[in-house]
Amino acid sequence: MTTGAPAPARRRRRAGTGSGLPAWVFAPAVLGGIFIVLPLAAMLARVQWSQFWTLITSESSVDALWLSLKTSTASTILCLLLGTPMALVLARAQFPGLRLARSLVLLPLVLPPVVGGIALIYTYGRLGLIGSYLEAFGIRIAFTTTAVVIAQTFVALPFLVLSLEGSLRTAGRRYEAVAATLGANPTTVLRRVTIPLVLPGLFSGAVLAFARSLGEFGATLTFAGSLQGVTRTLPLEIYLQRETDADAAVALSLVLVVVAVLIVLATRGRGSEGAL
Amino acid sequence: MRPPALVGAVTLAASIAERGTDLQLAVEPGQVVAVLGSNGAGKSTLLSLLSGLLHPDTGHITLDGQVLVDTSTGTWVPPHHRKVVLLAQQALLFPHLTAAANVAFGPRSQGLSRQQARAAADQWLAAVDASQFADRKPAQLSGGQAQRIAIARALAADPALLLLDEPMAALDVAVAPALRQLLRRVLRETRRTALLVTHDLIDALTLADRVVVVEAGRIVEDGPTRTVLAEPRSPFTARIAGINLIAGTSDGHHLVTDDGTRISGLLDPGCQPGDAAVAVFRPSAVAVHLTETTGSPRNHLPVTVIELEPRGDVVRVHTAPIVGAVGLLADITVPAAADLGLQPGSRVHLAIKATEITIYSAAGVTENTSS
Repeated sequence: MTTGAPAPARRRRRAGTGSGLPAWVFAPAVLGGIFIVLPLAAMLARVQWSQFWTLITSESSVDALWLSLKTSTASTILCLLLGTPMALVLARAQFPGLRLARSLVLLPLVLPPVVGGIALIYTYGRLGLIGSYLEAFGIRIAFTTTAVVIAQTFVALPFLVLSLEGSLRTAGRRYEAVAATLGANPTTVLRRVTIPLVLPGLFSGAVLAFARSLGEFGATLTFAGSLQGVTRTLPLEIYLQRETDADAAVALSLVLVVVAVLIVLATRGRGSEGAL
Repeated sequence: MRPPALVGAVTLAASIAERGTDLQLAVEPGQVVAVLGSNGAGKSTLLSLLSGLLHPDTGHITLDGQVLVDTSTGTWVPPHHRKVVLLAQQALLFPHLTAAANVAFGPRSQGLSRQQARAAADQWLAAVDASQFADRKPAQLSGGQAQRIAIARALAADPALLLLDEPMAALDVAVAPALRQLLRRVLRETRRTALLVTHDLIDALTLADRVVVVEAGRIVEDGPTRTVLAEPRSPFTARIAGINLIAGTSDGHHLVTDDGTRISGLLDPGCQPGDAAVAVFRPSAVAVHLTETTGSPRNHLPVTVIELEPRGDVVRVHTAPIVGAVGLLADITVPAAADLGLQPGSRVHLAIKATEITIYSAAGVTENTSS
C-alpha cells in the first residue's frame, strides 16, 4: 500500500520546492531581488573606507544627521497623535463620504513630494491660506525646522494610517463588543482592548512613518529650503555633497542605508510581517 | 458568591423589518430560558438586541424596570451600561491579558480598584475550578479551559442578565459535559437570569426552566422545558424533540417517580442522589408487549395506547399520561403494530433496556426545593 507513494512525492518536492508555485515564477522574482540589491552593492563598492569616518563626522554631516533624527522623531510622534485617531475613525466609524475621506487621506502617498511641498507653501507660507494669518502674529513657518517637521508629517502620515487601519480591520470588533458588554466604556475599550490588540500594527506603522520622514527630500526642499543645521536634513546634505564631494555623498548614503536596514530589522523582529 | 437576589426581570418587544424579526418575550428574575430554533431563525438577533449590539427598528426593552431601548422616545442605553453580559461559542478571552486579568476586566471597568478586581477574579476563578490557570495567557489554554475562564469573566461582571450563545458548541464532546455541569451549578447558585441559545436538547433539559422556540424571527413556542420537549407543537421542536421524558428524583442509581416506579438507566455524572431528575430515551428504543414479559430489559411500564400515528415505515404509538410523564412514545414497525392488533385503548407493556435510558438532573423542578 505504501510502496508506490514516496517516489512521486519526492519528485514533486524537488520541482516546486514545496511552495505550490510554478517553477518559472522564481526567475523574475530573483531578477527583482537583484534589481533591488545590486545598486546598494555598487554603492558599497565605491565607499572610501580610509576617509569614511572623517567624512561622516564633518560638521555639516553631523548637523544633517542630528537634524534628520530630531525632525523624523518629531514627525513620527505627530503621525502617532494624528494618525491613530484617523485610522480608528476610518476603520470603525460609519458615515457618508467615508470612502472619499479615505482616498483624500491617502493622497500624499501618491502625490509627488515636490507637489506636496508647493501645496504646503500655499498653506503655511507667508502668503498662504493659514500662513498669512500666522504672519500677523509674527509666526513664520516656511524655511524653519518646523517646516521640515510639517513636510515630513505630511508625506509620512498615510503610512501610519494605512498600516494601523489594516491591523484594526484584521483584529475585528468582536473583542470590543465583549469588553463593552462587560461594562467597559468606549475609552476603556480603546485603551485596554483595541490599542493593545493592534500594537504590532501601530509599531510597524510608526517605524514606516519614521523611515519615510528620514528619507523625505522633495517636499522638504521645496517648503523648508536647505539651511545647514536648520532645514538641511541628511538627504538634502547628500544631494548637495554629490555636486562637490562624491565620496562624502556615498559615505552619508551608507549611513542612511544602515539606518534603513536597522529599521527594517526592528520591524521584522517584532513579528509584524504583513502589517503593511 | 452573590446571595440569591431576584434581579433580571426582562421584557422585550422588538422588530427589525430587514430581518423579518418580530420578537416578544418576558423573563422572570432568576429564570433560565433555553432559546431553540434552526440556524438563522433569529436566536442570535434576540441576544444582540438585549446586549445592545443591534438596534431594533421599533421596540421596547426593559431590564428590572429600567428602559434599555424605547424607539418611540429614542431611548438607547449603550452596551456598557446594561449589565447584560454575552458568553459566545468562542471564549474570546483578550489575548494580551492573563486569565486573571481577563476575569478582572469587568470589575475593573465598573470602577473597582485593582486589588478589589483581582480579589473578585480570584474568587470567580476558584468558582469555576480554574485557579491554577490564573497567570496563563489565553494562547496557553485549551478550548475547555478558555471557556471556563470566559464563564468566570462573564459572572465576575455581575450581570443582571446573562446571555449564553451556544457556549458548548465549539467544545470537544469530552469537555462539554463538565462545562454543562459547571454552568448548571453557577446558574443555580447565583440564581442568575439567563438566556441560553442552544441546539442541544440536553442543554435545554439540564439547564433551563423554560424553553422558547424561535422560527422565522418569531417566538412560536414557549413553555416549561419538559412540556415543550415532550409535547412539541412547532415543527422544529417536533424534529429535535419527540423524545420520551419521565420526571422523578434520582436515588443515585435509578430515577424514582412520584408513585415509586423505579426506572433503571445510565446516570449522567452530574446527577446527584436526591436531585430532581429526568429519564430520557428515544421512541425507537421502546418495545411494545401485550403482556408483561421477562427478559433482559430492566424497565417495564404498563400503559394505555391513545393514538397510533403512521410515520412512513414505522408506527408511532402514543400512550396516555403516566406519573412523571405527559405520555410516552414508542416507534414500532407497521407489521409489528398489525400483529399486536394495537388500537386506541389497548393496554400494553412497554419494555426499555436500561442502556437506552440516560438519567439527567433536571433544571427548574429543583429551584423550589434545593435553594
